[in-house]
Amino acid sequence: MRGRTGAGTPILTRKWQQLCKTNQRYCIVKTSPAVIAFLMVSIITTSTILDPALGTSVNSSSNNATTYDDNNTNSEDYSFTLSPSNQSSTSTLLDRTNVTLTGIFGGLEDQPAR
Amino acid sequence: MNIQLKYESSRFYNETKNHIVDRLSTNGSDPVDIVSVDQIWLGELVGKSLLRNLTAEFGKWSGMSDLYEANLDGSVYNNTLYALWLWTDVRGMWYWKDMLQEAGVDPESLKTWDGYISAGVKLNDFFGDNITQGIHLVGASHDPDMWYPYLWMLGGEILELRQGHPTKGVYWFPSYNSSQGIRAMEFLKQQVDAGIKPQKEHYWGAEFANRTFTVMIEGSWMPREFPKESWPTLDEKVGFIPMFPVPNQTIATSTMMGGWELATPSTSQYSELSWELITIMAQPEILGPFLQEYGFLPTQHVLGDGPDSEPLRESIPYFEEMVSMIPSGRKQTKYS
Repeated sequence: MRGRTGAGTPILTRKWQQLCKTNQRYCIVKTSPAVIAFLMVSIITTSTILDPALGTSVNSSSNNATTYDDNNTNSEDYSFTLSPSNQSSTSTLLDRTNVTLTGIFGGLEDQPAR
Repeated sequence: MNIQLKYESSRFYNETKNHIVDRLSTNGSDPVDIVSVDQIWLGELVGKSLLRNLTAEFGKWSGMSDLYEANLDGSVYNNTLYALWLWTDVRGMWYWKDMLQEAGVDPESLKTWDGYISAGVKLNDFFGDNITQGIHLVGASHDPDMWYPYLWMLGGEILELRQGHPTKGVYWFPSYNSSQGIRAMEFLKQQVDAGIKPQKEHYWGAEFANRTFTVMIEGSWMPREFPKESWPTLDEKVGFIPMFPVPNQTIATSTMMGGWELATPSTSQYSELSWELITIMAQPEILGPFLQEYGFLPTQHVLGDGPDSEPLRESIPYFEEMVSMIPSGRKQTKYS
């Protein structure tokens, strides 16, 4: 398992503080736990697995509009910059400049998984 | 490399699976790279060829040996690994200490079938119409979840792989309709006969937290029904017995486990990156604070009973007791 410094924690904290201020309705309580884990990973990955100097979230919180559509699904976009690292096991994508990862997450629903 | 993350989630549990299946079946120009899978859906999604085989990736991943066996088993379908089970839950007995004391019911008596029913009668007699009922009995659509543990503790199984089918050879036999299954069902019937009414509406612990029931077999998510600031002292008011009642003390208990897994859809364009992200999420230093915040149970020994478990033990009420149930936990085989 890869090592990790604590560098991601302040960034994560600031990120959530920022999100909470601008989007209180869907802050931690209303955000899917899986999504939170995903976002944690996105930020921590940025600062550890890849180059910390370039691992900065580039999206503006003002663009984070979590809304439910008529199908009772919500969506949100986050983007951040990653730099290749020799700690990463992912090798085939290093020549790519733009990658969009899409996730569908459970855990926000009105009842637990079982 | 500039990575953009997009996520989708559903509001209602009963719609989530259909949303996932529809979305993965019609990828079009926007394929999905990571997907949450309720453990009971794994077989169905694999059967529809929607998930990628991760067996080789698991083989290279150092965290595999640290997973609880039951949780690793729940990531397997047809001897192939398709997902990583990230967090889990168990069911056990929750009770209000003051109400049991007031009614003169010893919590220890709840551990056996006879004692459980006697306690239910005594609590109903004592509290009458002041509460909904002494002991809660699930009568909602997920009530089989509350029957399976009794089936399992008696040695029964839901399904059994058998040979000799006239046209299919090896086949799954519905072995739940066995003497063990009937005996397990009889315990539920005895509760009804004793005046413990099945509750058709289910509120996942809220009905216990608001003291309309004194005893409830419910999931490890129960502490989330109480304010977070009350967690450090919750055990002074609410008791937890890490078991389903057993016919007698010589029989080992069992419980139903649930939880979410993460998988890579078969059509992901970035499956390698997807798997790397999933394993990073599973790292104790990342997953631990998340479990601590939401009160979920880990699927890894390092967080459950290992060196990184201390923050969870200190913050989640009855964490050790709930984790102790994981080895006796079983899963539905509804779709696998």
